[in-house]
Amino acid sequence: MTDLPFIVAAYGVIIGGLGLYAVFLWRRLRSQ
Amino acid sequence: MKTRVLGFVAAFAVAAAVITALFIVPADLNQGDAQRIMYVHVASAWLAYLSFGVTAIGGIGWLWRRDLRFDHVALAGAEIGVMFTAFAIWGGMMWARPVWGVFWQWEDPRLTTTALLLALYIGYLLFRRLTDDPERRATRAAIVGIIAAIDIPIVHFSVEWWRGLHQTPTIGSPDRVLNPAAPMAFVGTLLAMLAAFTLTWMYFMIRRYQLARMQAEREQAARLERLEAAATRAGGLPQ
Repeated sequence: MTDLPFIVAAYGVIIGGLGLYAVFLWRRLRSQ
Repeated sequence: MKTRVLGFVAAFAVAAAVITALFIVPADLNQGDAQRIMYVHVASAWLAYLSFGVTAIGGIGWLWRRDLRFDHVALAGAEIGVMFTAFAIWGGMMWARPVWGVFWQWEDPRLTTTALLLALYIGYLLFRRLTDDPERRATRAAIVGIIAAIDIPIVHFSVEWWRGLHQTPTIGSPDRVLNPAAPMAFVGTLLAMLAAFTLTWMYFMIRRYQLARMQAEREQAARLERLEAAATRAGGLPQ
């Protein structure tokens, strides 16, 4: 796969970010 | 329970779409594998538009009906929209470097207006913290949210109105969806990613709205408690 670092950086941040936001929401909801 | 099911379906859909985009659909002939970033970049940009559109509609709803639930929807849209705008910019930068040779170019109207969009809605979220009064906060935020939404069509049509590095839409109109300037495998994968991200967006919106309502209830309870304490100090609540 060409340009691998850019693809990993893009997908890693975006998909990882979605996962982190889901955890963040879940924790904030539980703390209410 | 239904929201939890939606969350699982969304997570599965995102996983399937990402596997398809990275390993199943072929690489672009000219851009190579870097073009695979397009799927998450475009899906993020679409949800940024949708989120901020919802924020503007929520603001109009509040001004019209004076129901704080509209303000909670507006807040959810703004917070989630900021996240997706940041994702769209990040994905765009990672795609731009191998294809354009630069991460960013301020002279490009699409890039600059998108950066402005991000700044506007971060400002919207910060602006909401200026007052504790929920009604005053909702009114001020509604006005800011409606004015900021003017940038959404400017971002979208910037590639048509001005010249820059950013390409014009490949499937930006219904006739182009049916007759796109890209192979059907690419278009199908993009539509799958759009659907998966939209499901995820729906899940986030519901959860963020629920959180906003809970926070508002706690704020209200704390306010009543303070009022009661003040009234007790002053000799009891008036009968």
